Amino acid sequence: MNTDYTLNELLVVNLSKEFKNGEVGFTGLATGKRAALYITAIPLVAMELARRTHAPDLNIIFAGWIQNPDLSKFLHLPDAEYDETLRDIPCEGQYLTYPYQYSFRRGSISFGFGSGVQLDKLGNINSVCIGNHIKPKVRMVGPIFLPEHFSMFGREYVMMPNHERRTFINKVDYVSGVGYPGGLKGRKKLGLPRGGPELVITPKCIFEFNKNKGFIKVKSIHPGISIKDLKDSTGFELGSLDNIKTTKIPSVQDLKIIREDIDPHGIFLGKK
Amino acid sequence: MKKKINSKVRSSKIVELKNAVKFIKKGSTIAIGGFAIYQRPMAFIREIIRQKINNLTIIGVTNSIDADILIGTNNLKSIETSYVGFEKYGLAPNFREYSENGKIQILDYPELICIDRFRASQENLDFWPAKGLGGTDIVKLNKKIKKFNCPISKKILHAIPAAKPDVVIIHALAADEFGNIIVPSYKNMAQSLDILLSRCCENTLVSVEKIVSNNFIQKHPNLIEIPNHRVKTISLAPFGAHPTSMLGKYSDDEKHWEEYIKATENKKSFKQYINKYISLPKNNNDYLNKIGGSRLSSLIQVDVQK
Repeated sequence: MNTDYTLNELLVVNLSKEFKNGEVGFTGLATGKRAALYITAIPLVAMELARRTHAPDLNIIFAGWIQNPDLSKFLHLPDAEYDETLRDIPCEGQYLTYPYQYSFRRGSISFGFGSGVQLDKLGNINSVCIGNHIKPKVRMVGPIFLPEHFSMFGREYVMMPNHERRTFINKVDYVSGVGYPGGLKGRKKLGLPRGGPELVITPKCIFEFNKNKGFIKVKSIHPGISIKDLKDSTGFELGSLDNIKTTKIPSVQDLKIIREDIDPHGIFLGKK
Repeated sequence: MKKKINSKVRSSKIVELKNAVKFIKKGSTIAIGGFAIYQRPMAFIREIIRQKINNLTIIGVTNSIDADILIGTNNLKSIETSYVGFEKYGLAPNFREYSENGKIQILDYPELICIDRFRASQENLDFWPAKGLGGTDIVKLNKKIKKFNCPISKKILHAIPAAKPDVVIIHALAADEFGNIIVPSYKNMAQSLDILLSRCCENTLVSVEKIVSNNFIQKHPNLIEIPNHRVKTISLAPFGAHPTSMLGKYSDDEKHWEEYIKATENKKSFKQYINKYISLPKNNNDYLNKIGGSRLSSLIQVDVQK
């Protein structure tokens, strides 16, 4: 059995299998080491891996406006959305005005990647505040583009760099993006005919959803993580995990493509 | 004596920054050009603080130091936006502190719907119809957003109030004295939003890096994305976006961002910062001297427009 892989590579390979040929994947530009890794770097490498394997027609929209960037030309992971670094990255297209060169409200975007400080068992996400909105305990940046991610994109991969009890809770303090309250029927009643969270990727496990009933459940647990650890780090009930699957480990061939072709200098996933 | 009017002479729109800013009144609703940490009209904002114009409301899309500094100097009553943060420089400290103490009103809007609010204003509409907001706390907590059914399809929509700013402030590359604004052909979000903002308010105040001749304007008529009839005043303010960036012209001033963030650690150090960079310098030139020529020249970028 192949055990020579990193957690980042594990997440990249598992995500890449999710994307279908011909889809359009959207990633924003996150800043801060962990957030940038989970929201920007891992999604980019995962999409590129899919392009180089089963999905050559997948289109990447990076930082919301750069189409199919040439990842080999990155000198470092960009930390600014509109500076000269991104302006000068070789790519196929730059979307420079709003409305953009895509129609996200018509369903142009097949899937996106988002994150927040809290996620609840219905799949709601919070990026606005902890505590009461009028006088919160902690105020964060705001809803940004998350409401659109969770309602206008075909599906959302929620990227959570920290798996802690305070992050995975029963009910978020502010709903920035809507999960499955009342299941798919509930979403329809709210006027949300498409979209919603698909998977939640964390350093300990991958969550999926029972979309009809509207609740989160563990899809697979990462190798080396115990059930006790996972339960202790999660603020909502996980139910029985006796027959839970282990997250599929990367193939030697996928690892070779990541290391030799996509990220030879460790700019995206770090040095191994 | 009656002032003699020569009808053959075109009027100049050049106004000193300190006079232009008088179009912003106590309690005004303002929209600020640029995007997040890019190309904000900071010289204008420093002048607002100098003249103590307070009780302001910002109608924004994404905001950063433009809002944060006005919050810290108690010029801002409320803000309607999708984001207040410093991107790579972290959270916006005054915004955070004032919010957590209940000292600023915040109305949250999704990012692209913030832009749609300006599109509504551009079309002189009172609202923009939005899809996909059901179930969010945005519509639960924001009483200005009204749920309705599409009169054609009966589907659920939300009416988002138009931006309707009293005054728009923008920092741009260059203009002639008549107020024709050049926007470089390579533009992105910041400059695109400036153009949109200029179309949704009759009090658009613009500061520029350089006043150019009308001959220069006539050499580049295709770049006049903001024509003079959409502009109220033009004010000269070199490096007027500092410490934010102006793509193709100068980078953001990382050292100054860090100095600002350090200054927000307590009331005393923030007051010292405001004194040093805003209250004591009488105008933009004094401010630039305070920053220093070598620092400013280190920020200069090279870009060759296609």
